[in-house]
Amino acid sequence: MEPTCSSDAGAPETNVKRRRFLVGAGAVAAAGLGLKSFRTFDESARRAEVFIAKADSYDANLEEPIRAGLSALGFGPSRVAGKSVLLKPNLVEPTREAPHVNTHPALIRAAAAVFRGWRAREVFVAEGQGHCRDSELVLEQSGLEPVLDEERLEFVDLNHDDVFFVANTLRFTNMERLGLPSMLRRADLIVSMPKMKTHHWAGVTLAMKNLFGVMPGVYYGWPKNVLHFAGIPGSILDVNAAVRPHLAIVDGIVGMEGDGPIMGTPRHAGLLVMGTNLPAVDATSARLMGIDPWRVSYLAAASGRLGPIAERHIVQRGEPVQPLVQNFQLLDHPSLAGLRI
Amino acid sequence: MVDRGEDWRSAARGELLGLRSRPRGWGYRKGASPAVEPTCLACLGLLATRRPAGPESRDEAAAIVADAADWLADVQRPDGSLGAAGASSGPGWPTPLGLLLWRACGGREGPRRRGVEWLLREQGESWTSTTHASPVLGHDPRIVGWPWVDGTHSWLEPTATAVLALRAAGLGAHPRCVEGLRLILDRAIEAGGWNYGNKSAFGNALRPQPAPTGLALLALARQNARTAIVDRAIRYLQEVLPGIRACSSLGWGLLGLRAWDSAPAEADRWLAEAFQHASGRPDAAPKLALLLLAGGDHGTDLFE
Repeated sequence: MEPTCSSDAGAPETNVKRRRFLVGAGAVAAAGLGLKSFRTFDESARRAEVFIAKADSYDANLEEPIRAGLSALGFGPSRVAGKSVLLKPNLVEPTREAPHVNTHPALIRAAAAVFRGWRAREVFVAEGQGHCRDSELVLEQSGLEPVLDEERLEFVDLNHDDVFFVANTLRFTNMERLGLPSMLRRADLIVSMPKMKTHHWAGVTLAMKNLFGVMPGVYYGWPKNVLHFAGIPGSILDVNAAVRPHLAIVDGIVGMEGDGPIMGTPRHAGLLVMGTNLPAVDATSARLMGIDPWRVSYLAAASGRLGPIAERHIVQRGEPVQPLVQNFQLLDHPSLAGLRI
Repeated sequence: MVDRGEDWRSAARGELLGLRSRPRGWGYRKGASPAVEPTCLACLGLLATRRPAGPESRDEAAAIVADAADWLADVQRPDGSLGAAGASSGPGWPTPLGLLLWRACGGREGPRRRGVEWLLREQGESWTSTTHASPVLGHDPRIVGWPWVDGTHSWLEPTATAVLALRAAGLGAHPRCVEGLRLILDRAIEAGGWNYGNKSAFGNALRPQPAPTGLALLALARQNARTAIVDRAIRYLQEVLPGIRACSSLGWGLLGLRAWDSAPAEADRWLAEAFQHASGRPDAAPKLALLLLAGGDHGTDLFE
């Protein structure tokens, strides 16, 4: 058994327990297995499905492609009914002038509607943004606040939640344990909803990197300094192994190219990318951006450990990748020069 | 308790008192564990809107504030710091807020001394001059301020609160405080204001934010001349605050303006509107606290 971020929704669940996190003695055992898996990693036994949908604008009916995509992935009403669903958008910092920084409110509204339509017990939105302590300001400036009010969606500030600790099973960094917000325990299903963006440190920021926003600022600082000091690629992997999200819906309708994740320029890609395995979703999204996932260090390291990233191991649903590839511009910096396919 | 007139402050004080965690302190959210930062902010907000003299010392709010200050002393760690996550665990960045509260309440000399000693020992990681030559970073990483978390770089907000606490403790001329002010000035964004502490990256200027800007202005007041950096920051806040009702940003922003006698006449209306928006929310405690701090007669005094 190696660490995985794939869904555990098929496992038996009780009404009392929400999600299982590795704690105590079990974590020590799992950590040993995780370290063992570092010695050989081969993704040939791994398969994942990723769905690509066209969506030209935020004014379009977005529920329809989300519903179609998730259904095609086998993530339909039977997986959602009765569950508590946490939507984790990418809200980085407050800005009205640059809406392409943050996941668009229309997509969050549509995802919530789909899960509610499938009789989720509750749907709530949670974020611990990295560049601004004031979540109220981020909601105000991003345009998400009126959507939350209209749709009666609860928002939970993960930066200031109570913290519980789990062992760092993957150990790509030297962090021995990870502090997670208590609200994660309330959710049965965690949905990463990133923006499709380039990133001046990591190459791309997609569903996996989006989980930095789960880590509580009261413990990790702003902009999540501890993770930066521990190493961004390694932290992405460790956090994903600890949080084990169930699903990703990437907002690629208007993404960001150039100096992402905050100062880049908007790039219309007209796409939604969905899947239950986050490395596979991110690898596909990277290809759609004209970036080779094998050259993005955290994706290459995720191969075999957290999921597949090779094209031959990813079953493509919906639209095919190749006709939709657009080369997102990369910052002119030596560290990013080798990322292009 | 009723303040002068039945304005929003009275309602906010009442709601804030009602949000207190049992048995002591305030949490970030209703039902959450009490934590140092919301407890300090709540108490400072109550003190900022206290009555001028007399009965306050015997009223419910004064007793609750005193009890919270004692609770902070109880959870102070042996090294002198106050933890951020839960009362006595997590990084020590809220320690300056505890020092400001203890100073405002008076007494508690031992906890204050230990807190100051910890604060003077705590410092952010600095980097070499070679790193500074890189165009990737916009600021001078050699300057030492305060980090959010021990062992990481110095950032704007923890440095500003540390400077405020040290100055309030009579250490405004201490070399750490002077260097902290230098860091704040170095991190100022060219167009005006501050954010979390990165003014540019990869050659691109980053965006300012109201709360860090207000905090920085508060820290610079009384210790820095009204320079072009200060003027640009004041202009930035005067431009953006009319459209902002997010409590923390509005509160810190107005405190910064008030410290430089630049708060507009409409500020009280903005605070009242923000109160209406925040009231009743499960995470209202730190929000109401900031509004009271910014709207109280004694708000800026608590940082001097």
